[in-house]
Amino acid sequence: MNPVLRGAAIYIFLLIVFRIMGKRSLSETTTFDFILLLIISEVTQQALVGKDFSLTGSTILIGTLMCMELLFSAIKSKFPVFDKILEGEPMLIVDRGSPLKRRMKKSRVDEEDILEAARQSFGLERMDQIKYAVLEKDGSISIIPYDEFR
Amino acid sequence: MNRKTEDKAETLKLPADMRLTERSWKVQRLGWSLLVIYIVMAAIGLFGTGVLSNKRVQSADYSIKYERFGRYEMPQEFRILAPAVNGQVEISVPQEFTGHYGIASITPEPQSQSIRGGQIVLQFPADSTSLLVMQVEAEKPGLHSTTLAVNGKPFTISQFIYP
Repeated sequence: MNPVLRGAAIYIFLLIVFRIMGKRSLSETTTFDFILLLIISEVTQQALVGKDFSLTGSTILIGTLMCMELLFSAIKSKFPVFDKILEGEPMLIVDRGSPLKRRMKKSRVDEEDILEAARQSFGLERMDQIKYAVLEKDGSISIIPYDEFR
Repeated sequence: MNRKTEDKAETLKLPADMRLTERSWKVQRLGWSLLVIYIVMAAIGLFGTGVLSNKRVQSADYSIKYERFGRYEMPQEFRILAPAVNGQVEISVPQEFTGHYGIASITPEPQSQSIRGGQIVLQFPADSTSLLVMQVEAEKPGLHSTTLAVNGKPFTISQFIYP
C-alpha cells in the first residue's frame, strides 16, 4: 500500500484514539502506562513499515507524518474550533479547596492524583492548601496553592 | 536593521540576532513546501505503489502488469497473463534477473525449471489463458531493464528502483 496513505491513516487513527481515551491516558503516571505507550509505538511501527526496508520508504513515511503535523497545525490556526475539538481545553477540578467531584469522575482523576501533583510541585500536604487545581490539555495536573503556602 | 542584537528586554542578556531568525523562518517555509511536494510525488506513485507507477505491457492475449517504480526490497508483483500454447505456458527469464531481483514466490509453481542458453526457463501446464503472479523484491537500486519471453514472445520490463 502506498506509504503516504498508510502514514496518513495511522496518524489520523492515533489522533482519534487518543482523543477518545481522554486526557489522563497521555500522561505517563505509572511504569505500566509507560510500557503500554511503548507497546503501542511498536505496533504502530509495524503497521507503518510492514516489509518495506527501503530508505526511500522511510523518508516518505517520516515526511508524511511531518506533513500531517503541518496540515493539522494549519487547520488549528485557521479554525480555532478545531483546536478545542482536537486538543481540548484546560479544566478546573479543584475550586478553592473543594474538589469538583463530577468533573474528576468523568476525567478519571481521583483525589490521590491531585494530592500527588500538589506534593510534587509545592510540597503541599492537604487538599485545603490547594486554591485551584487544573487538568491541563496534556493530562497533567497543575496546582495553584493558597498564597501562604507558596 | 543595523543592530545585531535586539533592544527589547535589555535586562535579560539574550543574544537575539533577529536577522538570522528571520532568515531561518524563510528557510523553514521553503523546507515545508519542498516536503509537501515530495509527499505529493510519493502519493501519486513516483516512488512506487501508486497511480503513476502502474504499468501494463500488452500484445494480443498477452499482458504483463508491473510497476514502473519500486523501492529497495519492497515486495511487489509481476502479473503475467498468457494463453496456453501446446498445453503449457513457458516463461524464460535471463539469468541476470536473479542478480537484481529476489523471487519470493511464483503462483502457481512451475512444473519444470531449467536453464537453457543463459535463460531460466519455467514451464506451467495450462489449458487456457492463465494468470501467473511473481512476487519479487528488488535487491539492487537503479534502472533495471529485463527482457523476458512468454511462450517465445519477448516483453521488456523496465523498472527504476529507489534505494
